[in-house]
Amino acid sequence: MTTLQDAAPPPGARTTGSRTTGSRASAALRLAGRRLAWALPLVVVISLAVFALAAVSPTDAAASFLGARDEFAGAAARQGVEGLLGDRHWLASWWEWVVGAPGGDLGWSTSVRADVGAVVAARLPWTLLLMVLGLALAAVLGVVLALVAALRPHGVLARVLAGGLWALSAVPSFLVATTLMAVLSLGLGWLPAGGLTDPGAPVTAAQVGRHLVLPVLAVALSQLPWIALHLHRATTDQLRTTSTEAARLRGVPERRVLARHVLPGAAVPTLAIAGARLPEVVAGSVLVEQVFGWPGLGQGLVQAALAQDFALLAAATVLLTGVALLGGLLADLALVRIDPRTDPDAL
Amino acid sequence: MRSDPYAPARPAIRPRPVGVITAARPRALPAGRVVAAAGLVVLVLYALLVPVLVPVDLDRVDYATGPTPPSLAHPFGTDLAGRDLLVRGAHGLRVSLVAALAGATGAVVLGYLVGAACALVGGRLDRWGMRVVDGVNAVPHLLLGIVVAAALRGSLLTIVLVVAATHWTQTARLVRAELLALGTRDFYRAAVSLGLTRRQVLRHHAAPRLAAQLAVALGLLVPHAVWHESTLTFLGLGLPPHQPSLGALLDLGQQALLSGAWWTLAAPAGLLVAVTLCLAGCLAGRTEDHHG
Repeated sequence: MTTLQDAAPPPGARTTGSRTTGSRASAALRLAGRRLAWALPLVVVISLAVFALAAVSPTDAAASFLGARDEFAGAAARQGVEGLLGDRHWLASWWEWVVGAPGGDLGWSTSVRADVGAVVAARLPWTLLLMVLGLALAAVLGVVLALVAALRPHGVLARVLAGGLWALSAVPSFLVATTLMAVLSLGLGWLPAGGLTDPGAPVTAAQVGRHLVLPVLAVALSQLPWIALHLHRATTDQLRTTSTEAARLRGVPERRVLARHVLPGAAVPTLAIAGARLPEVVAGSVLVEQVFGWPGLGQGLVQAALAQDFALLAAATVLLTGVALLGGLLADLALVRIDPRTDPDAL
Repeated sequence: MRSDPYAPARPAIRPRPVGVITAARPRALPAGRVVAAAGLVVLVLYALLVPVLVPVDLDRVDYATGPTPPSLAHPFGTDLAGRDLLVRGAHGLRVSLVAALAGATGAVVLGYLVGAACALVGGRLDRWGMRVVDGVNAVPHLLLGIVVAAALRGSLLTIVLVVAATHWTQTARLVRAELLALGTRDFYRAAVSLGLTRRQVLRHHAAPRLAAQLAVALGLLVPHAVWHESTLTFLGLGLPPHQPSLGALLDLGQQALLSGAWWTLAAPAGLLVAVTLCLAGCLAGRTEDHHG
């Protein structure tokens, strides 16, 4: 009985016959290669666009570098700054940026006054930590809510959930973040309102963990609606399939039916959408970082934009786009792994 | 195999659904749609009428009043500078809706032009056009918006440009797919074989179908554009603070939150969410996976 069950293909699966595991793995590799080959020209175009926009920007680069000190800077100091910022064609600056980028030389950030490579290296891990934890929490919450709602389609929870999630999807992520901060931090005082650690405190796991709760919750809540709603629809469909019915009739325990027959099938359409939604996850985390003062790349991006620091802006934009593209690739690879029907060559 | 007596009989023609039942089926959520439409009307009237009925100098501050919680005199309360939030909210809604409508219209027009050009010219232009669409879609829209707003700082025109530049891709895809699908339809081929010119065919067969699609696309883009305006302004990259858009009010509200004036955030936040929900509710049922 158990062997039969284990040998049974996942619900709704068609056996692919001639395709062996080896050729499937190489097809997945081809998929990864194709995506990377597509990312390269995209990075070139994005960086070109940032440099071109910097060139057409009507604001005075020297003035934005000097900031409040602009009015006190003498002619000599001003000339020095202008010489430092360079008066070259934007294509020349772009070319220098491209040549230096592979070696880690991304230019000089005028807002942080540090090497862009160092700024990015210090900030990117915090962004990734926030995004991965936020998405993981959203996925766990989404699975639980979708299962509960699908198993009791006419229950109170299912109805409240549908309306609540729909309303939540209309709330921008910066409002979710501010509301969480207002209630849990400023109102109830349970959690710190922002930053990576308490002022002056060393970066320890306990400190970061406490400060991480609210940003992660904000990212998770702002991504929850689409995850939960798609999972709910897919779970409802999957519960009605004959294969689920057959598994129950064979006496497979309900828990195993849900874990092995329903959820993998329901995850497929959600994963297929996840790849396309990742740019929005990145955008959402930029806003959450800004609200909570989380020292990630998103906050760096906003600061760079406010200070017109185009070197950092270019690096942050390219890297965050890269995160979105890489995340999309991972989602598609997971799809290939879970669902034998997907053709890696068609993705 | 064919003589298998247990095989389910397959009718040659798919059974047609009984007309009466399908016709009598109500459209999705009619009550919800009515509520949403009514809400939208109320919001638009509020944005249009309140600034006219209560002419207040927006720049005048009243520190003697200061921040007061919602009361009968000030239903939404007053902000840190003692300015009435009911009036400022109406002005903000006005600015945001104008920016959003202009941006969404720009996006739909641009998308329509690109999509139609791709479908009608075809060939190399189509391939490259769709590649550009994929490229724009791959970059998070907010990032593009931040980059553009960083260079061309703070004006209504910048916001409109940003929204149009980042959101035309959906419409372009839609128009292209619709036109390509049209080419395979029998009535289209009949029209062509009757000797109608391309222009006539497009006017008679393509235009009405596209018009309906574009209207839905515009409706779906407006809440997204409101979101974009308020987000960019909230980050300090959009409209200047003296122009009370919803984003600017939210930004001030977040700062006022630290001094306990929660209503300064609640008023614009409530308006923003209400507008988004009402717009989405009006189009409920058509919005499925249309736009993220």
